[in-house]
Amino acid sequence: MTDPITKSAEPASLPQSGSAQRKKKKKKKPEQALLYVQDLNKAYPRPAGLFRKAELSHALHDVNFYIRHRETFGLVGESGCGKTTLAMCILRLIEPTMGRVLFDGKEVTTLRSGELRQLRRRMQIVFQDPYASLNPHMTVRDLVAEGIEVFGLAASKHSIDDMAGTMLERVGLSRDAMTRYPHAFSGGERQRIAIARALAVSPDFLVLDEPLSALDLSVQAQIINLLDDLQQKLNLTQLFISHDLRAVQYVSHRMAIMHLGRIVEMGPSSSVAKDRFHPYTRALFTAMASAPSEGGDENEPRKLPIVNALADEISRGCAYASRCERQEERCHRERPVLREIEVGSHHRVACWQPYLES
Amino acid sequence: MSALAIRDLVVRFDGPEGPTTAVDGATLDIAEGQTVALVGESGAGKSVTARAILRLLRSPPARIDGGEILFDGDDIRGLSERQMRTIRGARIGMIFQDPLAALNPVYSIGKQIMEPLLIHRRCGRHEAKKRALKLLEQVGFPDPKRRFALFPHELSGGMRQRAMIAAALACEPELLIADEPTTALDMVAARGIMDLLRSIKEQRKMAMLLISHDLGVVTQLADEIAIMYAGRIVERGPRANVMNQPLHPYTRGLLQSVPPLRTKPRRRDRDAVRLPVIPGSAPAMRGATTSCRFADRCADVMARCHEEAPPLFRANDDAHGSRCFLHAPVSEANA
Repeated sequence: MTDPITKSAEPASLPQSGSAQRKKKKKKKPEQALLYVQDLNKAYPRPAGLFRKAELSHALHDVNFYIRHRETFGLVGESGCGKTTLAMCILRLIEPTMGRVLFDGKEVTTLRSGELRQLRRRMQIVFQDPYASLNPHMTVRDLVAEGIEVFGLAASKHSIDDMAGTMLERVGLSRDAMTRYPHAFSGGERQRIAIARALAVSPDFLVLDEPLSALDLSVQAQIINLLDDLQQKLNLTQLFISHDLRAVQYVSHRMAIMHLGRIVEMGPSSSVAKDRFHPYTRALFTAMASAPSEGGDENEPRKLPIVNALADEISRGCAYASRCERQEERCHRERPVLREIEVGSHHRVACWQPYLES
Repeated sequence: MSALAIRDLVVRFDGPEGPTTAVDGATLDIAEGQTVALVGESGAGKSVTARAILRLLRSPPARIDGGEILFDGDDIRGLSERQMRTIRGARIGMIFQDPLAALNPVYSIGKQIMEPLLIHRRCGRHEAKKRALKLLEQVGFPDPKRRFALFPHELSGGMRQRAMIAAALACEPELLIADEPTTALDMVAARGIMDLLRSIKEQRKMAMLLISHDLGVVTQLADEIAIMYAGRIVERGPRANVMNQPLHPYTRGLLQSVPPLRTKPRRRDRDAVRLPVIPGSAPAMRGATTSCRFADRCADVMARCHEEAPPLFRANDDAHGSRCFLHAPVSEANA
């Protein structure tokens, strides 16, 4: 029992209050994850309509996960499932309704503005669309150097320039790019600029919100390699959010599948890709067309039911039940919780009728 | 007999810095009842080709500088606008990437499906409505009578795309052009649209030009694949040939950059991610080029590639071909 993350059924132990933690100390210190998300909820008020009372629309329901140091955690789901809301709550760009976010032992959700600012340096985000996320009126130098200046990470103008230039070279651009404006660059190059901008303040944690979807296939592969390379060199921890299941299962160490604000399956990426316990996970993998090398049976018709998301959202049981091919009475009555199928596998699923045969 | 034949099509756009060549000698055949996928990355000239077929390019700045587009034996370039209108939306249907932008927000979807019938088929409103309801049912609307009066904003992305497909199919076109039909959709909705397009294609024996950058979509639907790079079709052939034995270095690079499914756990700090990549990015397309456009990014580049543009070399019983000197016949390669 040396490493609680790999050995025990529980995720890495949560930081305890002072004395309890000291007593527990063993020969080898248990690994603390960099980020814990605990029972996170976000609800938006939905105003009353003509025939409807005011109510809450839940974007996130009891989300729990952790990300270890230097790990890439993948989050997959369809649009509107709450992926971006989750990222925004972690960075506290929006306020969660309930729950906690612990970053390196500090509770992000209750930090005051001064401390939050310091933490923000350590948590950075890269957005989906590099055409929208870079200010067209700023030179590349100013875009990359902005964070360095704001956090006062370099003293002289000369050293700021030098840091920005080094960062650009890190992401595979040349220093000459500094004097130019974003419009002079292609989509892939812009995404590199956005990455350089995020990394300029030497963060520990990087949120990547759909970093590939605006890019062409051959450029996506370049960015995937770049992100991994940077992770190794800069000891980065990453949250990789995407609807592209194929890319996520490839780049992440562990991943979670999200459906209507809930994590329905979570585990090591290779296990999730192989076992696909949850029927929704199966549907997503089925919808992902097979690559030529996998010799897909492309003629097999795979009909997927048409969705009524609102009805699913207010269901008392499993939100996926009405679409599910394995639904039974219990699924509509009782909500399944995330549980491990095989103890110690760290592969969890929230389903009463998971696919256990492969 | 092919439903559509494009021969050496050249499309240029005039701009302040001189003309840009968007399509540079594209040649393509679509046989009756066949689905041909035009695959390429953004800026390769896929959509421009599609729009040129329907003469939807605004001129100026666009001009068709050469080649011909034969639809049912007639060159579309020589037709009058009046004749063109009897083809557009009637004999050639088109669906676009973003259904919210393509559908009219102030008309119900039912009305928009009736519109081509009223214009091209000159049938009465009653008859048009009857057919529109049937179309809605065919494209997967449950309870079409109730959905008929809905407006585009009341539908999900997938259902909007279905409504647009219904409108495109209303006049039973001989050719359907689908420009990135699933790109704007979620994965599950996209899968539904692909299933629908496949069943339509099987039922109607209609020719289809499928434009996509998504190799997954293409594997599902296409009979033939044409790979487009920087305005040229660099490889074409039957789907299985192109996917399993790609010839052109660009096609090979593209197929390799698809992330594989993980079978082993990725260990932290140990397993690095290294996808094979095509270095660099697509070239700017100014002026005329007398070289292979892929030469600067190609791992197999030869001196010759910088001097002349490779023609299409045939392989595998003529059905499969590539515009790369690697596949030049031996006699010519030695010359």
